[in-house]
Amino acid sequence: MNYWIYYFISFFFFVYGVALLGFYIGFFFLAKRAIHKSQRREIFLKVEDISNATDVPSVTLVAPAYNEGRTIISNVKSLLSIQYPFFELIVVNDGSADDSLEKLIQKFDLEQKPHKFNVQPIPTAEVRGVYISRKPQYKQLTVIDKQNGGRADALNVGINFATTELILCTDADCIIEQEAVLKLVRPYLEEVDEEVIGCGAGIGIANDSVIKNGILKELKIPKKYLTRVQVVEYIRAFLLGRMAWSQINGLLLISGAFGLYPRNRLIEVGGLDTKTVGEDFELCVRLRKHMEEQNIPYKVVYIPETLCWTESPSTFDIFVKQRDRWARGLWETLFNNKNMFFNPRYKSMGLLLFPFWFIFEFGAPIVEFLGIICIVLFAVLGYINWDVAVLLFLLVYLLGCIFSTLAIYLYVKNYPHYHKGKQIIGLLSAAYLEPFLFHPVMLFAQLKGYYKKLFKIESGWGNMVRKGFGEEEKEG
Amino acid sequence: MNGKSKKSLVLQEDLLLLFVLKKMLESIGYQCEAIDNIDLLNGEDKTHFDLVITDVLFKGHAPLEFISQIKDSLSFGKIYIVSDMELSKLRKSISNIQPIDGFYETPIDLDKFKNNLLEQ
Amino acid sequence: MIEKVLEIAVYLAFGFLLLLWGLTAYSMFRQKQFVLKKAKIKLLFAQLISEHLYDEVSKTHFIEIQRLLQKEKVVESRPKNVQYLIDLMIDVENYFAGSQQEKIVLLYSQLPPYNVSYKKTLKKDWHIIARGIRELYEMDQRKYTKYILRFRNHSNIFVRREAQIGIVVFLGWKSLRFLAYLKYTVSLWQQIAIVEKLNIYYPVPNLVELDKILNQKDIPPSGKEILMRIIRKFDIEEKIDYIIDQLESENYDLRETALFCLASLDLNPQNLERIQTFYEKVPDRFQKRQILLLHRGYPVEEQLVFFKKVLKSNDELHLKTVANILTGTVYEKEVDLLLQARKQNLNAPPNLVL
Repeated sequence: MNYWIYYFISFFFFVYGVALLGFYIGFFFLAKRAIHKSQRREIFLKVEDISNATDVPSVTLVAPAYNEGRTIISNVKSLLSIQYPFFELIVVNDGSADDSLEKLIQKFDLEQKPHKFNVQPIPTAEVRGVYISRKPQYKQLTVIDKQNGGRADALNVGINFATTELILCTDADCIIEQEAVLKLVRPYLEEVDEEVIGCGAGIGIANDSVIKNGILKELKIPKKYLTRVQVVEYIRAFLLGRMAWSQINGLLLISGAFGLYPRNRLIEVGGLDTKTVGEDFELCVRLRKHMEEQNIPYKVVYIPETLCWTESPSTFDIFVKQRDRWARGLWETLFNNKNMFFNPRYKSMGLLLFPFWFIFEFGAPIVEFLGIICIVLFAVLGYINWDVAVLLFLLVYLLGCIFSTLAIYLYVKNYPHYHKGKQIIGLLSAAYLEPFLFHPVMLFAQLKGYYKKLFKIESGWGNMVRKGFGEEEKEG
Repeated sequence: MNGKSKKSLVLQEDLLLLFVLKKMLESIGYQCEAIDNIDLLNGEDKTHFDLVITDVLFKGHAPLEFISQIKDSLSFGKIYIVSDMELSKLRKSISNIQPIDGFYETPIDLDKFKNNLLEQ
Repeated sequence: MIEKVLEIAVYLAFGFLLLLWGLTAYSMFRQKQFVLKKAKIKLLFAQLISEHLYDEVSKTHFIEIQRLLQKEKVVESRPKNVQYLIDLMIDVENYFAGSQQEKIVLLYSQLPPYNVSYKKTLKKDWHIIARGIRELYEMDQRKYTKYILRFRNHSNIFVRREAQIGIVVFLGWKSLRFLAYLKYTVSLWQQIAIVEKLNIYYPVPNLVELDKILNQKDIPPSGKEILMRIIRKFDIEEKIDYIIDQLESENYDLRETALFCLASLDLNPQNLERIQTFYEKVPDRFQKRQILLLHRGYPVEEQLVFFKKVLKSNDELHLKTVANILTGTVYEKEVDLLLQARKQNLNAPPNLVL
């Protein structure tokens, strides 16, 4: 009987592992094809063509800012240097306790303008003031001061006050490539039968890089192991994962730090959800759900290029808090939309995407944790054939190394950011140590997040105290 | 008009535009300095340029802020904007910062541009 | 048995990993070489093109250019280099108009490999065909006009897009008779590209050709959108009514395009009056708001009757939009009082003009 249980459990983990492996292999081929297709299409719609055209959609960048006094000026200047013929920048000061607003008013010579009759279709915290610059060189800038309400609420204020067709949701501390909007707008220009309801792109990590006046001057590999391994993780996730999903219109997540959406659709769905900590995932799911319910053909697309640079957590403490929050966000969105599971009303989203996310994204840390328990248990009971176990472990480890290497190879082959041998060796070595140094910490963080949700332990976003690129996140 | 002693400056990131504009100016008698990287512009250089032809799109610089910097750091007579970017929304703002003698968006008829310069 | 299989799998996996390392290193090396090569070709070409446009053209001019390019390995056996050169020529051709453009086209015709663009259109891959068509029209190879026409309804969107643009470049305003009846929906970029090329190559509107097509009854929505953008781009005042008429359409995108075009045109009082008649017919409240915003910047007195009607509605979106428009005018206080009364569900104060 015991042996039957042992074989049954082993079979379950084996099937789960093989299924996951199969998906990753599929992701690689889909991503490769998608990158290839994207590069071929780019030839026929260059950024110079878009920059030169008159009827391209107008874009507003909405950047919430909270307690970013030290870097807010250079961040805003960086965002203003974006090259696009019709763009506006709205910086939303989310009730900062520091001197962010005062610095902005002084530097950009801002004056208040009346906003009594501004229509605000999405309910938000109170807007205290709307400021525009007296200087003509900053005429694209609007600063909105509001009561603190969180990032999602600040973005909703920006959406309310924007007057353009498209909204780019970002963070004030992100460094956005100057041609980013020109590239992100491509899918909107080329849409024919399916409406584009969201467009994302790769986000890179710029810790320890050379930043001058808010512009990324020289990209360097982060010195610390924790940040370096996240570079590999991001490359894998964006280049392989998201590109693959985009290829089959299965993308359920556009990063909150960098996503372009049609304003009218954002308003139709009521903006971002202020009650969840995973508002980016939640928004994408809700947008898709909305379009499915309206029976309107749509797609969510992804540009396979790093267009936005950010700082990743550089200490394990902050990293755990971030991944804990992501896990809670995932939990919230999945369970808040549980009516979509295997619901044919939502077509591929209900029958394939949601189940996949539940079983392999949400379920993976749980399965892994159970697997560890089972290994220990079976070892104690003497069921394990150690020769086979070691070889299996070695094989799985090498497969993991192969996937990371494939992701780095694809990146190096197609993009110029990491072009020195030393950089590639640094990234590969970080990837090969990942299962031992990084993955267990991530597993712990995810399970911590689930534990909090299971036992209804209150936990929020956290406060950011900025010193420049490389700051610590404190739990609020 | 004899432009032999006149100094000009061309600022363009694109090499193709840079070389062609430089050649055009030299063909009408200007001494021409051509720069494709504005970080090389020496703010302490007090050379007076009779003519400046510049783009507004440069890596790491917001178009309007760039014009403001040009106004403060360069000494020049006339200034023309030659750009690949659509400028209809920015023209007024640019002119509010610094009066511009002419806006030329690609495709540019260089003969017409040359004749305009000769008439000045 | 399982152990043996796993052992082999481990060796294979390790071997594959080694292969990947090799591929990555090779890829980086090749990339670096190509970037350096491209920079050299671009610098050389910039020098050549500036000399070609402004220096004396000697008898050995083109031979000398070919020799210099061959030195940089821009030869038939290196198709990537050749393609890069062609792309640079297209870039420079798009930078300049007038006599310079003709000189560039002449240079293109003198450089080997000759006829490379036409040969591309005979291939099977869509991106090669599309590229070939693009090169044909960018390099003004007019003898291929009829040939390009047959691609205008190709199943691949990029091929048909390039063909449609090519038709505009070669036929100008006459191309409207083809473009108004395209089989597939035309994307926004296609519309933009068509209108921009028409404006660059044929800047003077041909109202005879335009009238012919505007009077047709069965133009599909994409065709109508192109026509509206043409009217807007060329600022053809006498045809603004065609755009206003689209506000009555059941097609959301048509109305959206009409509103976009009207927003950047100078509207006279008759235009505004016509637009107002469509206000109630438009089903979408955000598009209704856009209609209201069209009135911004025009004399308020002439729109008062219309604004009074709108202020009777219960939609806060529209009320606030009108209030916004009236901000800074003599009616600002009145509309503020009116909105406050509405908010408190009171009657409007007496003696209000609005």
